[in-house]
Amino acid sequence: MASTSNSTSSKIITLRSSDGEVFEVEESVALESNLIRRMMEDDCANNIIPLPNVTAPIFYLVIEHCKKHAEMKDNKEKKKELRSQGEELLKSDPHTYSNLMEAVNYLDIKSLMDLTAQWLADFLKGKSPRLIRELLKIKNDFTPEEEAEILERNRWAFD
Amino acid sequence: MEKRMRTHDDDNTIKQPEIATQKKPMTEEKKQKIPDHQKEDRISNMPDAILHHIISLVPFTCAVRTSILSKRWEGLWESTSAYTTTLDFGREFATSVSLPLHLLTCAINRILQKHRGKTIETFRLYFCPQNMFLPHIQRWILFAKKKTVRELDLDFTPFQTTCQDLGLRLYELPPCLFSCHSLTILKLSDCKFNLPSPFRGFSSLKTLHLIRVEITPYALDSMLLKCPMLEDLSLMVCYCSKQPFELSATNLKIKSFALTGYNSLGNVGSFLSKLAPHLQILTICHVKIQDFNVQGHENAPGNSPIAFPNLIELHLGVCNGSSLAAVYAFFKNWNFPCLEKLMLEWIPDNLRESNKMVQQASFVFHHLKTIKINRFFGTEKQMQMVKFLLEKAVALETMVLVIPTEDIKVSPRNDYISQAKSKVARLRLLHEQLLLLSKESTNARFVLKNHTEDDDSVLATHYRYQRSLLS
Repeated sequence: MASTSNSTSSKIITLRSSDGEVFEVEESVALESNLIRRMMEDDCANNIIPLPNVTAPIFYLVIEHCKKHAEMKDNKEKKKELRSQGEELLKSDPHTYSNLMEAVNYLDIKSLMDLTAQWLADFLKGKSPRLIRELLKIKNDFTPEEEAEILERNRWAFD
Repeated sequence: MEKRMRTHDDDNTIKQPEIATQKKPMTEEKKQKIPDHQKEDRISNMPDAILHHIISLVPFTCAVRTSILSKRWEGLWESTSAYTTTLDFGREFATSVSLPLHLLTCAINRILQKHRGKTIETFRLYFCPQNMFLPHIQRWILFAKKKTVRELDLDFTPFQTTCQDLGLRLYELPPCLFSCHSLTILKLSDCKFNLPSPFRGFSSLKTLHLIRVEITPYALDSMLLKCPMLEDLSLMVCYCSKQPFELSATNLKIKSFALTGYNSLGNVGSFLSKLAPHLQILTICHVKIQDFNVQGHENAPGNSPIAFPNLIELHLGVCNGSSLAAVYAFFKNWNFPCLEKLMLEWIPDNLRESNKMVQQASFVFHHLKTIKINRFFGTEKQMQMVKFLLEKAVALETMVLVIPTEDIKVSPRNDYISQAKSKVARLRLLHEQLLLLSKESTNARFVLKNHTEDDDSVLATHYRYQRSLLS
């Protein structure tokens, strides 16, 4: 849990997001992050661990997904469900997606890195470039000539 | 893998702060103009390493298409594919573009030409082996060999529309494939497996899956002799015109074995008994059950059964035509003390088996927790089989029965369910019948499902290959 002590045995780690919010996280959850693991190994984690690249709302999301991921071990249904959630998030809020992705990358959480990367990969599959641009708000900065040239170069992939 | 290491080591220490400072003024600036900051494109601003990772997860066709999104994306797929360790030109790739073969060849050649990585993990190919493309296919295999490929997956199943009528000859694997010493996984479909001489073997090969491959028992024997690490062997609808042959390989360490309908194996029973010590997962379908009972084997009936001390999962194909006596004899002659999962595939095939009576043996399954029976119609024979299993499985927890959805008319007569009208009524009727049976394990429960509702929660390890056969 992101809030105060709910565990009996495991140690609690205190983390501070870039916008100053303080989180108390079970050690087992915190150690999913290789960044935090390294910081603790280097012993610079006696007090509050600062996370200058992660805001509080995003950190909530990270922890939530860490837990979901731990739950889904060996559960194919849950796995499918979690994998399919990306489509919705990317359609409704690509901004939060990229914040989450970058936070996961920064915190170096392998399991979530695989999941969130897979979300965008699944999202890209089977959609036309035009639709992808529209949904992800990507601005087409090619001139028509440049675009035609790219199409020509890899004709086989664009049908 | 290599790529990810780069992601974390370089980007966190060097690139990341740089990007953060670059982005901040931009977001602040935009926040004032557009309060809804979701209108801007942040995905494209993610670091290269992240985008590379994402692009590496999509098929090549889709990766190439990202190049037209914007200037930011233009070169990303090329730099991704230049160092990718998975070159996947498998079914997903082939079906994502509907290209004539010569253009498909050009596309593959282009991607391979630009590959800069020294090694690759996986090379997957699904291609139609028309004569004029054979030199290309050979070059691709050589390419994979030079990059010390570890997993090679070559599928030459004729494309449905283009190649079926061309009278194609079976693709004969080139000799260079047999000197890919880096291989740990080799999967082949629809080709001819001729070993060159001399053949030195694959010293690291762990997995060998052959689907509809023409392979002589001699070649198979050589493979078994010269691949000392082999632990996962799968022979699906393989065939050979040569006479059956008793394999000489001994000291096999195979843990997982799947066999469907290969008649050239000589005495299947004798081969299985060689695998018995190490085997953990076993699938046998489309083989007459009486064939691997110990008839003609040195262990004559009456001797103690052959034990599979480590076998956990057994997936057995039972034909409509096979006699229950043969099935009982199977469980009498082979002993699975640790079996946890038993799956029965009811195959609509009328193989004739002898109806010789076999005395029921006095064994029990001590550890068997899960039984799944596919294509369960509730025929008398199937009900007898269920009864038999319920008596033997003393620790049973769940028995899953999957009811086929096809027209009831095609199902065997005299079954309980053909009279019931709705699907729900069918299930209820069957369930009532089942509850009348006595069971050794009082806690065992039945799960009845229509085929369409089967969520695969109990799935045979070899099911994937099984499915590819049915399609």
